[in-house]
This record gives sequence, C-alpha cells and structure tokens, in this order.
Amino acid sequence: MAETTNGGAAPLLPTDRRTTLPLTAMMAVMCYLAALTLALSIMLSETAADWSRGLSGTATVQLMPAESKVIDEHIQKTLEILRATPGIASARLVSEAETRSLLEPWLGTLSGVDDLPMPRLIAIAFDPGTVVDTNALGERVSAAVPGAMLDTHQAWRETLSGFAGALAWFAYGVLALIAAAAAGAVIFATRAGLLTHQEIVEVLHFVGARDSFIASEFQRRFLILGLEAGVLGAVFAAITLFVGEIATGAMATNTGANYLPALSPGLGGYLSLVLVPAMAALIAMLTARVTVLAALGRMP
Amino acid sequence: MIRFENVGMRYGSGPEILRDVTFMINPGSFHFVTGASGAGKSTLLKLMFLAERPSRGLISLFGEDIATTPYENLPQVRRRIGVVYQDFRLLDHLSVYENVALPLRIAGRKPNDYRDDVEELLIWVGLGDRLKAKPPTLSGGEKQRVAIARAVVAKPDLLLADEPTGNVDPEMGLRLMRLFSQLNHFGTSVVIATHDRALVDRFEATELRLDQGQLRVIAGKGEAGGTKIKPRKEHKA
Ligand SMILES: Nc1ncnc2c1ncn2[C@@H]1O[C@H](COP(=O)(O)OP(=O)(O)O)[C@@H](O)[C@H]1O
Ligand SMILES: [Mg+2]
Repeated sequence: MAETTNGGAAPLLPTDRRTTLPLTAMMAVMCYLAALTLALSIMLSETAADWSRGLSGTATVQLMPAESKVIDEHIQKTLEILRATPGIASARLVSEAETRSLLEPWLGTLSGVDDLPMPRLIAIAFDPGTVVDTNALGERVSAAVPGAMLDTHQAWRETLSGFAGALAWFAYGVLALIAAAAAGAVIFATRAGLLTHQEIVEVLHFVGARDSFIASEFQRRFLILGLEAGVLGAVFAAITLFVGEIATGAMATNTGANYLPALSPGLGGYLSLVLVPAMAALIAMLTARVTVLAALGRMP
Repeated sequence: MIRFENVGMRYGSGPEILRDVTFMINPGSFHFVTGASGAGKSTLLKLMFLAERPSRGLISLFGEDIATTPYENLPQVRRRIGVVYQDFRLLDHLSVYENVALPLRIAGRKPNDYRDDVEELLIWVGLGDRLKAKPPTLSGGEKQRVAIARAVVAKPDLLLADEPTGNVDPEMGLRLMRLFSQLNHFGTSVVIATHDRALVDRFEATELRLDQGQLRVIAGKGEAGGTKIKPRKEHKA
C-alpha cells in the first residue's frame, strides 16, 4: 500500500507488488534470452566481418606449373602488369618453400614431393580504400599469361558474409519474437489491471480525467516493470557471457587450440546489453499505453 | 444549461426505460428526480453525466449537443459536473483528503494550490479530523460526506446526487440536504434523485417525476420555476 500523505501525490493506482512479481520474473527471463541473442549475434557477425576484412584486402594470382624458363617469364610478366595497376600496394612472389609449406597439410611430407611441379603464387595486397576492378584485372592477367588465374577469395567472402547476414536476420527474428511475446504478456497484464482497477478507472474517467492521463498511470507502472526486468535479464546475461568468455579462453589455452577464438562479446557486446532494459521499458510502456487507450475508447 | 428533447433510452435491446423525456435545467436551479425504484432515476442521471448515451433524442449540456461534441472535449464537460454516486465510489487506497482532492489533481492543479481549499471543505462537512483516514474505516454517513465533498470541490456548474440520503438516518439526511441547499445558493445547479417522498415534500423545488418511462415536470410551490430551495417548517406527524 502506498504511503498516503497530504501532498496528494500518492499513486492513483494501488501498488500491488505481489501481483506484478510473476510478470517481472517472466519478463526478466525474456530479457535474459534477448540479451544473450543480441550479444551472440554481435559476437558472430564481428567474427565473420573480421575474417571477411582480412580476406578482402588481398588476392592471389596462380600460375600453372611449367618449365622454369617459361615460368620465370610468366612471373615477370604478371608482376609487371600488377605493378602497373593503380590501387595495388604490393605484388610479391611467394617462394617455392612457402608454397610447399602451404600445401603441406594436403600433400604431407612425402619424399619425392620436391620433384613435383608446383604452381607459383603471387600475393597481392590492395591499397586500403581504393576499389580495383578485379574482373578486368583477372582478364588482363589471363590474356597476357596463359594459365594465370586471379583469385580474389570472392567465393569465400560471399559465403562468409552470407552466413553472417543469415545469422543477423535469424537473431533479429528471435529478438522480434521475444519482443512480441513480451508485448503480449504486457497486454494481458494491462487488461487484467484494467479489470482489477475498473472502479478506479471509471471514477477517474467520470471525474474528467483524459484517457492519456489514465493511460499514464498504467504506463508508468509498466515502464518501471520493464526496466527492472530488463536490468535483471541483462545483468544475468552479462554474467553468463563473462563466464563463457573465461571458460572458452581457458579451454583454448589448455588444449593449445589457438585457432579457436575466445568467445568474447567484446566491450561493444557488453555495452549493447544496455539496449535490453531500454527496449524492455519502451515496449512495456508503449504496449500498456496502447492497450489502455484502446480499452478507454470503448467507454461512454 | 441542460436540455433533454424527446430522449429515449434502452439498455441494449431491452425495453425502453425512458420515453420522450423533455425538460430543461437552468443555471442555479434545484431539482428532484423522483419515481419508484426502477423508474429510471439513475438512468436519467447517467445520461446527464455522460455515463450512458441516449438511444434517441437530443441532450444538450452547457449549450452543446453531446452527440456532436468531439471526444477530446468530453473531459472538460465532465469537469463541470460533480456526481455523488449512490454507492459513493470512493477510492479505498487513497485517504479522505486525496479522494476529495482528486478532481483538482485531474484538472492539473498543483497540490500546494488546493490544499487549503480541500481542508477547508472537509472541515465544513465535518470531516476535519479524518483527513488521513481511508474510506473502508469510515461510517456510511462519513463516506457520503466524502463523496459529496469530492463532487463539489471543483465548484461544478452542475451537481448530480443519486439517492444521497438513502444510506443515512433521517437526521443526517437533513444535514446533507442543507449542504446541497447551501451549494445551490452559491450558484451550482443541483439535481437530486430520490424515492423519498417525505424529503421532496419538505422542500420547494421543481420535481421531475418519472412514471412508466414518462417524465412529468412539476413546478415547486415556491418562486416561479422553483429555482431556489426553501426548507419548510417541520410538520409534526
Ligand atoms: N446497466 C443496465 N443494463 C440493463 N438494464 C439496466 C441497467 N441499469 C438499469 N437497468 C434497468 O433500467 C431500469 C431503471 O433502472 P434505474 O435507472 O436504476 O432506476 P432507479 O434508479 O429509478 O431505481 C430498471 O428496470 C433496471 O433494471
Ligand atoms: Mg437508482
């Protein structure tokens, strides 16, 4: 029960903690799931973006194995074309030893491998910020040097960004579903509140309160509820993510699996959790407002 | 100030409770609405404070046809009308003071602005020492007076009271009637619904008598139109 003073500022709706507690708990669980979804999607799309970025600044020209005189000529010609192309920062011949070590995982360290004809690779680094027409470049290289192929890792990057995009949409979908479920819960609770406090609502209405005034009484309550649930959910999600980060970090160290990225949402990921209580409060407040206004619109 | 013209009223598809009701209420007047229980007195009041809409006919409040008044203007109209409900409709979680201050708070006035007025009014109705009490702890007569105080605190142009003496003993009933009479002297039009014949006979006021859904206007024996109330000498039965 609200403390009533002569100030006249007591809430016009009685505050009944016990009836709002189950809804707060339920909303907190939803906010927890939303926060995890948000952080995970940020984490994964950042990782995909990192890989894609690493690949997008580079390309490779592959030259078919040939006799050493011919291949030297091919290498020379290719390097000339590449160095004359604006937007290319560097073009470097990958040494035979390096090429071999790149192929090692596939070919193994069999004896006699040394005698196999090896394709030669030229690594290209583009100037950051400039756009090079890689299609035209590829055609020029292939025309000048038979069997030369420009590989821009395009297929890889498309796969990666497609994956990241699909993931982002999936995450948005899950977040939208959670938001819809939360709004549904708030509609339900607001209608129950209108019913419980029907007498009060009627008195306010007939004393001349505007619908927006009555709605603001409900709105304020649901804003606080959404905020509380959002903070609870976000804090528990942050704890979960932090524990996950430490656990995956320790696992990577223990197993020496350095290629496994530690599952870290990063500072941005943690900061984005602030959005959860903000959105929860906004959704709860607006839903309550719309629900009350719709109900009051049916009053005489 | 209030005009009913050929007003008909039915609930849903039920029978017509009011038929061809026509009357006028002038500023500063005093009226009784009488009739047997179930005659439609409460229904008539509900039409006057916009809790129900008529099935047909014209109702004009303060010079405006309510059928064409925009929805957003209705709160302003309601603020000019004070209502004493038959069942009081006090907010149990608010104190006596807060219940009475409610119309002022809703009209957007500042607490510091109206505190003295509200306290003065509560003293006037004899509740000066119950400001912080909650309605469930009050007697019937006390609740009645809180309800009346809430209805009049914003100095409405029109006061509607539904059986305001129904729940109290005759002596308290008389005290409350004097209160209404005083308000009327300050310029508020008062309309009281009652089935208490004796009460009506005590006062010279225009009577709106409901019978079989029809309304008859019976002028009071006082001044023309019976606008002012004059308590008669008490008869000895
Ligand atoms: N909300 C309602 N729905 C349907 N019928 C109603 C409603 N309110 C009142 N009535 C009917 O209207 C008639 C008049 O009721 P009412 O106006 O309360 O009379 P009174 O106040 O004179 O006793 C009664 O027959 C009652 O049953
Ligand atoms: Mg009645």
